[in-house]
Amino acid sequence: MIEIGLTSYLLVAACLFSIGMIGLFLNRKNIITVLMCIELMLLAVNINFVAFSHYLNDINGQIFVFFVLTVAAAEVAVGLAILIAFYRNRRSVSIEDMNSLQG
Amino acid sequence: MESLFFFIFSGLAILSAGFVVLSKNAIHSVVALIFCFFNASALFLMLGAEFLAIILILIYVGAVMVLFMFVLMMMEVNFEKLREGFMQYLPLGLMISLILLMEFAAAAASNIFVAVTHKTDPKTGEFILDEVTKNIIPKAEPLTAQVNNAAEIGKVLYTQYMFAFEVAALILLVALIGAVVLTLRTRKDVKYQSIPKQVRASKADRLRKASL
Amino acid sequence: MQYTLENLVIYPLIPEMFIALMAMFILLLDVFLTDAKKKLVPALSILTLLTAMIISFCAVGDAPVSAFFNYVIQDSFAAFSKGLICAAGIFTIVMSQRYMKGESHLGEYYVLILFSILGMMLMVSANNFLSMYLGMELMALSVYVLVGYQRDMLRSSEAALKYFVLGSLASCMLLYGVTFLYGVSGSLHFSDVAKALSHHEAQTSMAVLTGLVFIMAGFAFKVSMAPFHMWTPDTYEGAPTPITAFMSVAPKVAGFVLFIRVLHDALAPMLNEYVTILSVLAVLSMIIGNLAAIAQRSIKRMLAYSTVGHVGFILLGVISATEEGYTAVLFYMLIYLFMTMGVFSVLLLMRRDGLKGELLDDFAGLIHVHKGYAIAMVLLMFSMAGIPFLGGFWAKFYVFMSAFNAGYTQLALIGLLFSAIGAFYYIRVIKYVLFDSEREAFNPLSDKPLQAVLVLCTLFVLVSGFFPDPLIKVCQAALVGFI
Repeated sequence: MIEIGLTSYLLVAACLFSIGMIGLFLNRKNIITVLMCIELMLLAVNINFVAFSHYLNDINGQIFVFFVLTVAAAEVAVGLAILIAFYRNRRSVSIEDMNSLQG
Repeated sequence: MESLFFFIFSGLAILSAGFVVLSKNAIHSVVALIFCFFNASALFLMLGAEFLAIILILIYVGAVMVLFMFVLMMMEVNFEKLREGFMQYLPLGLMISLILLMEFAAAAASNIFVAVTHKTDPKTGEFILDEVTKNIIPKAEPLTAQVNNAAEIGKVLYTQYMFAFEVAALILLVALIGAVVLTLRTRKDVKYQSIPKQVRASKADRLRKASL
Repeated sequence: MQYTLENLVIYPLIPEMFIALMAMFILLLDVFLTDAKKKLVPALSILTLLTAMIISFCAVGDAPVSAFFNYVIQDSFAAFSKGLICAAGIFTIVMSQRYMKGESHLGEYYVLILFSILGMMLMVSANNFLSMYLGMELMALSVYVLVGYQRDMLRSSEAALKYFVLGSLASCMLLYGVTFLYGVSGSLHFSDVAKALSHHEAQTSMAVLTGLVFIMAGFAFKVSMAPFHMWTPDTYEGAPTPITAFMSVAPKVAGFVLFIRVLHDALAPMLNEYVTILSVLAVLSMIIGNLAAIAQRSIKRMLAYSTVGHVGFILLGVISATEEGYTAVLFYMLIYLFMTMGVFSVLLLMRRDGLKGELLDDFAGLIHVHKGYAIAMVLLMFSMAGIPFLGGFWAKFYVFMSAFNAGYTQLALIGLLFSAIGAFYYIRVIKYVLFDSEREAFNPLSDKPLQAVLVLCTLFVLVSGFFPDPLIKVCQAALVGFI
């Protein structure tokens, strides 16, 4: 059996981060999926922190994750509120319809 | 045994993350993301972070994802239409992400992490490299019943991290104000009960003496 | 260190705590005020910021003091930038008075400005990656909402949405970079990270480099360096004009001061690597900022690109990484604050009924309409272009000199070249103002507070042009205890 160590966890996080990044490129049309991709990337950050925290035997990484979760929740609340305000004005959540501001 | 669980959970997490990105329906994406969070929380458990594992489920699945679902249901969006031209950006996205992934993999595989930090020179306080452990990443220590992760976090959260705790409270307040300010609107065509108005009402407003 | 109450130092953060308490007080007060007394809210906010500014200047000594178990630090560097941020906040509140009239929930608008300033003040005082992140998010969340405050206008909410998506992506990248530094050093304090990075093994490892690149990218988004500036023009155009003015100064000041602190305190052992990255970013910012600005018709978009260009110039000072360079950065930001606020107050004064003076054409023949505004606009534009002897000239001069003295001759020359190219579009505005005939009749506002801001900013730009030395001295003094 392959030994599971720090590197394995970091690789999982790296995969999640990259998938989130692909998602940003693919979902050029739906802003909600874009927000979900950002959540995926934040999850990757959290896995990184927890893995380091475990292998360094240091609680600070876990505390950071605690705050990242708190802030992320606040951020989603604000983000979705902005999205609703946009939807009320535009009746769409498509990125292509975000075109009223152009030079 | 441990590695088996690791592969199951991490594999499922990555698969469901892929589904989040590729799914045609945003509702399915939300469900896949929830599943991904459950698997990540299992990984957290394996890393001995029980408190965070529970918090991840409670906050993310219980609050954030429900909020996502709620907003999705509220808007009438034709998702099929949103997927047109979906594959057009695939090559670019795939290329950039693969480059990133390679970089991350190299970063993850560098053995610097544990090696540099674990020993400090007692005289100077500088970090020194431990030649023996330099290339060995220590195995995860098995969890013991004595270590209470939540208690450990609690001990530092309200002492050492007092500052961060207070600022986090302010951030939540700002989010609250922001969400209300951006979305609250009173409809003109519906009759509301206005409590401030009722409280402020005085005799002069309501009572009119009619001379008979 | 024992984490007990005796060791908890809180007095360096009194200005921040004052702002936080006052913001919450104003939030509550606003509910109980009748409409006639709503004017109290902005007045109280301005008073709060003034007091906080004075306290933070008084509280600072020569030596840096750390507070809250070393999570934040207060030194003259932080105090100086807090002064700038509070000043930007005061100008913004004054400018908002007329512009935001008629919006609903105005009380919360001022509260959010206060909270965003609080976030910025925590950013410039951060001594730890956690306090840095929290300060940044407090600022960012408030500013997202402020940008989208005109919620019934499509462009405002669209601007907020774009800013939000790219801003949270930037925080994500920043955090991903921070994880690697944490993994290498086992600590989130800037000084511990620097200690771990001073090891040769760490400096060459892929993990540290990845961390460095991602942290740079995160900061580049936040202070809108090219090529991470995509959100800037759209957000600037869509946001309410006073908020555009606020965004183009205050978060930039906070971002740059924090950036300098991170580079100097945590990433100093990686000097060669970060200078390489920053040089590329600086050159790109100067090119894109100054060239793209030429093509703009909307003055707000033009100013957005001009911000990107100015960020490129400021970066030259950061790259120098010397005391001279950092002094130049502080001086640049000081002048930039007054120039930008001046230009935006002209923009607000030009507002016609219903129509807002936001296109370049709207400036045509300003001289025939109102001589005072036209002269102020001309002076400010000359200053932005870096024509001697106005404040903007000295700002650019010191930045280029610092880059030159630190041995980055090519960068200084490129800066000089693009500053000359950039002068073109500023002078084009002057041409509109002075020599074109009026295209549409418009009635300039005469709003006393706004005029006061304009006069103050113009005078400052003029006076600093002739007497830059005392200001340079102040900026030098601000760096005592940091370097």
